[in-house]
Amino acid sequence: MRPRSRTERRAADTAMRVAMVPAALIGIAVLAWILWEVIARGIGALTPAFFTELPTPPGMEGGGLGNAILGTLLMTFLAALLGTPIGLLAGVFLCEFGPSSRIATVVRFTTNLLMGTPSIIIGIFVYSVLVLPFGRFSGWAGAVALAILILPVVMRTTEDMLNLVPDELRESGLALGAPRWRVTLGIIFRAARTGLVTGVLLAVARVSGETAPLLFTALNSFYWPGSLSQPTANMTVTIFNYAMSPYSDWQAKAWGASLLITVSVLAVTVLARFVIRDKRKRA
Amino acid sequence: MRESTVERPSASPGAVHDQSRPDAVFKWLTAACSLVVIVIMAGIFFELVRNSGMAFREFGFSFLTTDSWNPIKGEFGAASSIYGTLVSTGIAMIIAIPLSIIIAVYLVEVAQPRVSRFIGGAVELLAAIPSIIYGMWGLFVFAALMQTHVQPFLGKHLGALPLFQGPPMGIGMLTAGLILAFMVLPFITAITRDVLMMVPPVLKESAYGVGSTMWEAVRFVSLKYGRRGIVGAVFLGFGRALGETMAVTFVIGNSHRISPSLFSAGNTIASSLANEFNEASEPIYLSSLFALALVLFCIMLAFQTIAHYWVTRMQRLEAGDR
Amino acid sequence: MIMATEERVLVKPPSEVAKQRPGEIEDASWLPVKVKVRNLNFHYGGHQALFDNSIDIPASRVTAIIGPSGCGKSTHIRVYNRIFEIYRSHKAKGTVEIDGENVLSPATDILKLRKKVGMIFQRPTPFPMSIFNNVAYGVKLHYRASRGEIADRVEDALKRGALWDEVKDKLGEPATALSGGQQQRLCIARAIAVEPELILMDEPCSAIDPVATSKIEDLIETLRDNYTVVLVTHNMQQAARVSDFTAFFYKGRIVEFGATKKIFTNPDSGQTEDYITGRFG
Repeated sequence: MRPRSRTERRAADTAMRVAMVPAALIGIAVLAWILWEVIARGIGALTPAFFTELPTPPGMEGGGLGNAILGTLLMTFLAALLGTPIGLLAGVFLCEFGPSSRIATVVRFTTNLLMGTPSIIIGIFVYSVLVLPFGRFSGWAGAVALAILILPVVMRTTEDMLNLVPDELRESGLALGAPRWRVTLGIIFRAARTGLVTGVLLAVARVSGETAPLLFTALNSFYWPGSLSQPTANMTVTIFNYAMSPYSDWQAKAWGASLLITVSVLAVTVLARFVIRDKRKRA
Repeated sequence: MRESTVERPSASPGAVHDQSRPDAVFKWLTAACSLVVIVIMAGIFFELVRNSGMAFREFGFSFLTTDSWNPIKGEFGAASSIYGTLVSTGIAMIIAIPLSIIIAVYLVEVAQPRVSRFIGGAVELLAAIPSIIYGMWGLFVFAALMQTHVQPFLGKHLGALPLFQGPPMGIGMLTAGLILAFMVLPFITAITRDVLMMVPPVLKESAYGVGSTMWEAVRFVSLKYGRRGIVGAVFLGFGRALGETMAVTFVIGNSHRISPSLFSAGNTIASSLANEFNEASEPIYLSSLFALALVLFCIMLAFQTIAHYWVTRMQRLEAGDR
Repeated sequence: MIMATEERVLVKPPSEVAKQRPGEIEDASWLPVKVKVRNLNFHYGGHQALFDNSIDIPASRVTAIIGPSGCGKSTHIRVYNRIFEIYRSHKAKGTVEIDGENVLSPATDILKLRKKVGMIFQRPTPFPMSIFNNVAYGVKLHYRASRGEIADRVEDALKRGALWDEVKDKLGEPATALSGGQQQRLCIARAIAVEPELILMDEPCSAIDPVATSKIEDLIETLRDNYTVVLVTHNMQQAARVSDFTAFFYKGRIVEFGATKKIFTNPDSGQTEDYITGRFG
């Protein structure tokens, strides 16, 4: 039994420490590089007209993506309206009613599966149930596809956040003779409010940048979203179409839309994280 | 996966009679909402099977093994898409797993707290960037770098391998794999970091107490202690890479040919769906695309189920006092 | 009160010294010094936890450190192997000489130091691996050894840790499956396996039941022959039972240090007497 060289062990340790720095820098560098390119290439496109006007025909300068911005906002809002309440109530079921029951276990596993399902498959599913039978692409179908993406995330966050609420709070509510549903909605939701709101915000922000589920549902359009039973303009599919086009004006607009989406999604994410962190600190 | 073992009181004992009915309604309402996910999953499976029926009737099992994809002749096979999906994911994981774990160790064990917070925040932001932005950046910025520098360099030094032969086009399998690595990296890093932060300080102290260096303590104790969470994170990243659509679609080149070179264009299941679904005019074409989607869905299901059982098995094996 | 005497001379031959049992020793002054602490101050960020600690820990004896919780007992011994350093805000000033070498000097080889100074913690800390690998862990770190050599060393350490008979048939099982008391003896065996000279025990029995505690006390009794043991404990009976010398800490200062028998029967300081007799703490 010979003693191991401490110099060698220390050298291995130092080598790892040294290797870690460039590895960590890669993380920062990629973020900085992406942000830089998106800003540098996108900022020029963000004129007032970009927000208010309709797109011009291919090859013509000018115009804007006002319809796509509005369409994305509309569909994201509808998706949140549809997915959030179901997700909240389902989360209540998982946390408050028999968290270890067989059905809850199955639901939890399925929720994980749904979260792991590629968003393009959600898009295809909605296409086959809401587009094919009606014979047309629609904003409604797009909103439903986004809602399906929101649902499992909201369920998991709700369950996690409700689990943080101390049992004493539940028990003291019930001890006053309040029915279960009032305790849940009036006391427990209120106690977990910050976490729930930020969880929903994060889910909605993430979904607002999704493209794949909209490709075969909302499609895209050059017009204002007058009715959601028609193909509906949206930013992400517009980016995809414009980026792949040969027109430099369209490509510039794609960068503008990229910048707008990146900034909004990151802003909401940062905001939500601050609130959650603050909440955790106080908890 | 969190398992709560505390059974909550299911109804207030001695509830006044007229309150138990709204409570029952409330409980059933929440149960119905949670069943929505099951309905959706079943619906996805059913719809994919139903719509892909024609393709499977036409091509049979050979749909999975042929690599011809010819909409004009009406011949379709999934082999090149499955190959591309697995190869691009493989490249991404080979790069992302070690890199993520190293970054996470750096954030928890080495970096000054301020540096750690800064880099940790950047990694979290990287996870929040929509995939289409990665696609834009990949196509217009990163692919150019690949074409002018990375691919010529690899071709010059490793050109003897068939993997790195062919003209540097910028886009292609390798570029797609790298972009996927950048996308998956923040997920694995963030979870691994959280897992490493959960290692009880006294366990770390014990490792240092018998004379471990930082790297020895991390490698033999912390990473082992957190391996379940880390394996879970890797599975999560793997799943994301498998199904990622937009970032890949921009840079993979969309060719249905299987080539040994990582420089050449290829396709993944998701990228083919994104590119061709709206153009599929023939029923057999559309059905073949549904069949592709079904293949991807089944890979996902199988993969996640394996992951689930693996992680729970590890949990059971480790069951002791934790 | 014995404190900070600069030089000590052996007046009895070591063979005779080794035969003495706890309680028989009246005077530390003729024992060789293992750890010599001078003017040790310790800060947690802005908070000072130790004030001018000076003490001479006799070699090959069990020294107990007692005092009310939060008095700096654990903090004090955590300086000996510099384990406190893994937290950035923790700072120690002064000198701690082990066998004449100041461990706080930047030149100290910390890996060598920690091989020489084993530590047992308040809670058992089995590593997430098998029983065998727990004990082999430190051996593999510090030595290049064949499987057979490692196995021998593991067996020897488990025997010295009084755990061999209970685990010899299940060395491959996860260490976390052992009971709390067994886990703690495993940690002692793990520390012994790297052949330390000094073993620090930070309230090793605070998380385990009385029966397991008495086994560990018996174990400490046997360790006394080969190692210098410093035992932090909040349990005064334990200190009285197993230690040869006792230091009483209060509010980060060493109030009194001497033979255990003297501390418990005839302390010099009124504060010590109050604590021993249960008037506070």
